[in-house]
Formats: sequence, structure tokens, C-alpha cells
Amino acid sequence: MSNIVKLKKSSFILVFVLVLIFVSACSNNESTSKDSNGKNLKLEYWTNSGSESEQIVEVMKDWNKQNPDTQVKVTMIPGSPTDYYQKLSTAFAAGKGPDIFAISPAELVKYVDSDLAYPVNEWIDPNKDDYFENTLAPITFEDKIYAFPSNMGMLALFYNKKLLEEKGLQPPKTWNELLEVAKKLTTKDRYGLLIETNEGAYQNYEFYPFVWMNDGDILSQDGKKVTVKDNDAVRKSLKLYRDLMKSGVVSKKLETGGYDIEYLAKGNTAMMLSVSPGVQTLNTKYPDFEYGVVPYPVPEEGMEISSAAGGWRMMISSKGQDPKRSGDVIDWMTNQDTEQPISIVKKSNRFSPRKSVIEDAGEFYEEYPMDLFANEILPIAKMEPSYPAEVVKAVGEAIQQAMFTDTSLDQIIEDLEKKSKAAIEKK
Amino acid sequence: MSNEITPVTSSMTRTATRSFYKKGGKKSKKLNSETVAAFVFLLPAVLGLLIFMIIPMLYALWVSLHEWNGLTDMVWVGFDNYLRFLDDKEWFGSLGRTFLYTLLFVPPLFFASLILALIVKNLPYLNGTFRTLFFLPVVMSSVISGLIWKLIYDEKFGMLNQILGNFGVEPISWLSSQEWALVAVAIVSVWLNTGFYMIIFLAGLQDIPRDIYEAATIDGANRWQSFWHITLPNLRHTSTFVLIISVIGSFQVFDLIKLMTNGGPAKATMLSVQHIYETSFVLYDMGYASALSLCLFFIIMIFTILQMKLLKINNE
Repeated sequence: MSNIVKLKKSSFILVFVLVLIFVSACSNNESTSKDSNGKNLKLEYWTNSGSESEQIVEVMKDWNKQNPDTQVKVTMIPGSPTDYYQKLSTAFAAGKGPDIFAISPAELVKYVDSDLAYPVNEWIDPNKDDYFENTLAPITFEDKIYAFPSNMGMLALFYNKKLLEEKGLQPPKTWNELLEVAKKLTTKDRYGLLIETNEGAYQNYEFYPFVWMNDGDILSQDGKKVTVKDNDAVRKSLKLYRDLMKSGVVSKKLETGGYDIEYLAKGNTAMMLSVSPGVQTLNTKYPDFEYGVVPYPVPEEGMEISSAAGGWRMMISSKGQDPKRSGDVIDWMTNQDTEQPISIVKKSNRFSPRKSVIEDAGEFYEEYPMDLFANEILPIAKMEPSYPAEVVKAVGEAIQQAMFTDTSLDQIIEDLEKKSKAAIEKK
Repeated sequence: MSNEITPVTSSMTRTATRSFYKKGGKKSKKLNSETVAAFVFLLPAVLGLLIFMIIPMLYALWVSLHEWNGLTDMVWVGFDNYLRFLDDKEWFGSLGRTFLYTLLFVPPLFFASLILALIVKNLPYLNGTFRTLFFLPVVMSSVISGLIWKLIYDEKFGMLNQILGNFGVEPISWLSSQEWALVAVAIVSVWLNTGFYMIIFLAGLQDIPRDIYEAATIDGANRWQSFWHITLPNLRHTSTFVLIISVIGSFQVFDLIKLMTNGGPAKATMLSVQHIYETSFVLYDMGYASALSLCLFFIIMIFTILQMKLLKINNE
């Protein structure tokens, strides 16, 4: 009898031990050798897959060769930017965030407000002339720069050359032409024009240039005042989106991101709004596909064009193992020589925020359509603004309502202003 | 779940009690060791519940009393978050849509699975094959079926509109129109879940003693009468279970919506859980989102209790 009791006792211990092993196996105890003297530092660098992450991995191999004491491990987080941010914020909440991470304008403010961003003024001198002037503004808060500026992708209208030629059409220059041309190119199994229809930061990004062309904006330059109702720019742009949607010429539901240039290459649409990195995909994956690129159409003939430049900024975690050393890494990658930045922008068809890099990359920007981006769009492009998350969401909801409901535009504008004001006052 | 655990524990206690009486003097020690053994066997389940359910729930309660963006320190705000949702129109809008979704989801699911169960049970042959076929969607991951249905629903290139087009129906934008989006998601949800509830109904049907039917046939009852007077009343427990679980499921629906519409277009499918998700992971308002989840928890609880009372499951 006592044997059985013993057996049960031992089985109890056994189960207990197993449970302990299970629990401890679940917790991630990967030991990162921390050494503030810079010896054998292992830095974690997170980016969202896609974007320029593959080029970053390549460039970082060089860094790792040259700096045996500071090894950088680049992790590409798969999925959409939303998935990426979810993973990032969960990691930080659990105290396991990376040392360096890519961040887009729509999310930047949160990390700055949460004191997670390490100021990079010691590497970037705002008075030095090398950076385009508007590239630093969205990442500067009270004179402190909170991220390394990004390589920029720029928005433009891409079109299928053959289809337009077949119908004897010219690429649209005005909003009216945009609607007309799109109508003529829409068929039973093809959209005339593809714009992002899913709510989110990218849809807003694609929308902003329409507002800017009408001299309007969502918030004032310093981000402290809501300017939605200052003129009718936002209203006009929302109306354009509504007209496009109601006329049945634009995509309604997209399976992938609205920037995905393959929609154009595969013939699902005749025209689409997309970003310069799309050129990379078209040239490498679809070398025989004939396409053209023009700037965003303007509201009326003679008005100035507009575009938005967006991209991933590199942020240094203030909670990282060694923020100074992490800063050195990104400084080397983006801010020192032009060799590393050039290798990244060339392979992702982006524009460096540094004038010297663009000059040194020279002939890369002479070929069509990169010359169009460099000569016509880059000089007028505005940086995607860094708004608080509530404002980003309010703008997104306004666009959705304009496209998919019959709510009056006045009401939509009213709601947008109210929500944005509430968000700004909260800060 | 609990059904599986209860018989084990009760039989263990029974053995424990029996030996308690047999052994007289040494009773307490004996009782201890067997109870300990029982607890050891329960331990993994209890630990799992604790770690993955109870502790996170208590933590959510704690978070709901704070303002927190997930990154900074929490700031105590007391019951502010609970006062906030009282005048949150969007939250009540999402609750309203959730009720609508429940109406679109539960009745079709209930009847579809009951009918399928009856068909499968009465099939003269191949009923195993059909049971498996109807059950297949359940085995599929909801992500994969969501993706497939997204393709089927596509306005220009989707199969559904092409089929409907053959009958002269104008293309419908299933997932991108205010009128259809919620219906479209409910259809997929019913398709996904019918097989599971069919199995539950089948189990219920097989539990009904055959001799009742035989007696009824002898008394001259036709098929419809025996269905109405024998099958349905005997399925009361099963039906209650199906109703409760599917109503809870409809309140908690998330993955399909996240995948197929992401709450759009213009909030047409922004149900409660999606709204909570956006509050926490888009707006980073963790405290408020936790308060909303607890609110949803209580709503589900009240509904469950109401249903149990209405269907009088407690009296049996």
C-alpha cells in the first residue's frame, strides 16, 4: 500500500517537474550578452518585411563583417504594417523590444510620447544642409529629432500604356479627366482606376496630396490646430473619392495593399495610384509590360501638382541595450558615406532624404520613370505627416464614409473636425 | 469541456469516499493521497485555465481601471473608463451590429445543422461519407476559408457573381457594400460552423431511444408527428447547448471579420470585438478597451443566463 502512496507522491513530483519545465520552456530566456563597454554586443533590428528590409539585411552583413564587437541581427517581421506594429508594441510592453526598429509616420508619435524614442541629434545636425528641409520636420519635436529620416517612396499615377493608346486616350491631367478616362477604361473585368479602399494609414497617405493640391490640410504645420474646415480642400477631395466610387470606375475591395503594382501589371486595372518602389517590381518581374507614370492629376488645369513622400524611419529604442551604439549603426547605414544609402535606394527605387546621396546616385535617377520622380515630383513632394493615432483613424473613417455611405459631406467633415480636435486636446 | 471533467472527479471522490468508510482508522491519510492524486491529474487543466484564462481576465480588470497605451506606465483612473463608454456612440453602434449579426447567424445555423443532422441520420447508406463532407469546413482554418470566400465574393472576378450573372443578376459587391457585407460574413460563418453543430445534433438524435419511435409508429404517428412530438422535445438539451454556444460565438466573432472586411466598408461590419481590437491595437487605448471587453463579457453572461432560464435547463 505504501508503495502506491510513494508512487503517487513520485508521480505528483514528476508532474510538477514537467509543468515547471513546460512553463520555463515557454518563457524566452535567450541570453543576450550585454556589455556596456561595447564588447560582443548583439543588437536586435526589426523591420517590416517588404519595404527595403531585404536591402537592409544585405548592407548589415557588411557592418557585421567590419564590426565584430557589435553584431546586428535584422529581423523581418512578416505581414502587414498593422501586424508589425502589434508585434512591436507587445514586445515593448513585455520589455523585450528591439534596439533599433523601423517606424512609419502614422505610428511615430506614440513611440515619441511613450519615451521610447532615443533622440538622434548627436548624429544628425539639422543645420547641415544635406537633408531636404522637409524631411526632418515630421520627426522633430521641440528641437529634438527622434528618428533617422527615411528613404522616401513617392506617390504618382501609374497607367497601362497599351490600353490608353488603344483607346486613343492621354493620361489624365485634371480630376475631371481622371474620372472620364477611368470611365472609358472600365470594363466588366477591369477597373478604370485603382485606389486604396481599405481603411488605414496607407489610404490616408494616398489621399493627402489631393487635399494639399487645394491648399488645405488636416492639421496645421505644427500639429496644434485642426484645419479641416479652414477651406474646402478636404471636402473637395472627399467628393472626388465619392464621385470615383459612385461612378463605378474604381476598385471596391482589394485583396492586398492598394499600392500593390501587380494589379496594374496583371491587367486588373488600367490606372492606379502607387509609389516609386513599384517601379522596381515592374522592371524586374514584368520587363515586357509597358507602363507610364504621371503626377497626380490636379483639380483644374494650371494648378500645382502634389505628392506625398513616405517611408520607414529608423528609430533607436531608448530602452535598448546600448542606444549610442545602436545609433552608430544607423548613422553608418544612412548618414555617413553615400555608398550604403545608394545600395539601398537603388534596389528599392526610393529617394534618399540626403541631397548628396541623390547626386552621387546620379544616372540611376536619369532613366524613365525615375527621372520623372526626381525632377518633377521630388521637388514638390511633402512628407507624410506624423499625426496622432486618433487623427489618423478619424481621417480614415471620413474617407470610408465618403466612399461607402450616403452620409452628407458636411456631416463627414463635421465629424472629422470634432474627432481631430478631441485628439489634439487630449495631448 | 466541463462535461468531461466532472465525471472523472466525481468517480474519484466516490472511490475516495468508499475507501474512507472501509478503512476506518486510517481513513484520513488514505483520503488525502487519493485526493492529492485527483488534484495532480487536474493540475494541467487547472494551470492552463489559470494561465490562459483567469489571470488574463483579472489582469484585464486591473488594466480597465487605468489609462495605458501599452508602452508607458499605467495611470490609475478608477472607473473613468466605465463611465466613458456610456456615451460612446460607436460602441453602442457596434453592439447593435453585433445583435443584428446574431440574428443573421444563429437561426440559419440552428436550422441548417439540425436539417443536415436529420438528413445524415436517415441516409440509408454513405452517411459516414456525408457526415465527413459536411464536417470538413470545421476542420479548415477560418483564415483559409476567409481567404477563399474573399475570392468567391470578389465583385469582378469572384465565382459567386459569375454564377449569379448567368441568371441575369447584376454583380453584387458582397464585401464592399453597406447592405451586403454583414450578410456575406454571416453566410461564411454559418458555412464554417454548421458541420460542428450538426455533429452535436447527431449525437443528440442518437441518444433518443428507438423504442419511442416504434411505439409512436404503432400508434399510427406519421413522420412529421414523430419529429414534432418526439425528436424536438428530446433534443431540448442539445438545442439549448447549440443556441447558447452559437450566440456566444456570434458575440465573439472576430477572425473572419478581421480577415474579410476588417470592419469595413465604413464600419458596416464593425462588430464589438473588432471595435475593441481597434481601440486597443489601432488607438492604443488599452484601459478603455479592457473596460469594453468586460462590458461585453457581462452582456454575454446575461444572455447566457437568460437563455438557460428561458429554456429551463436548470430545472432538469
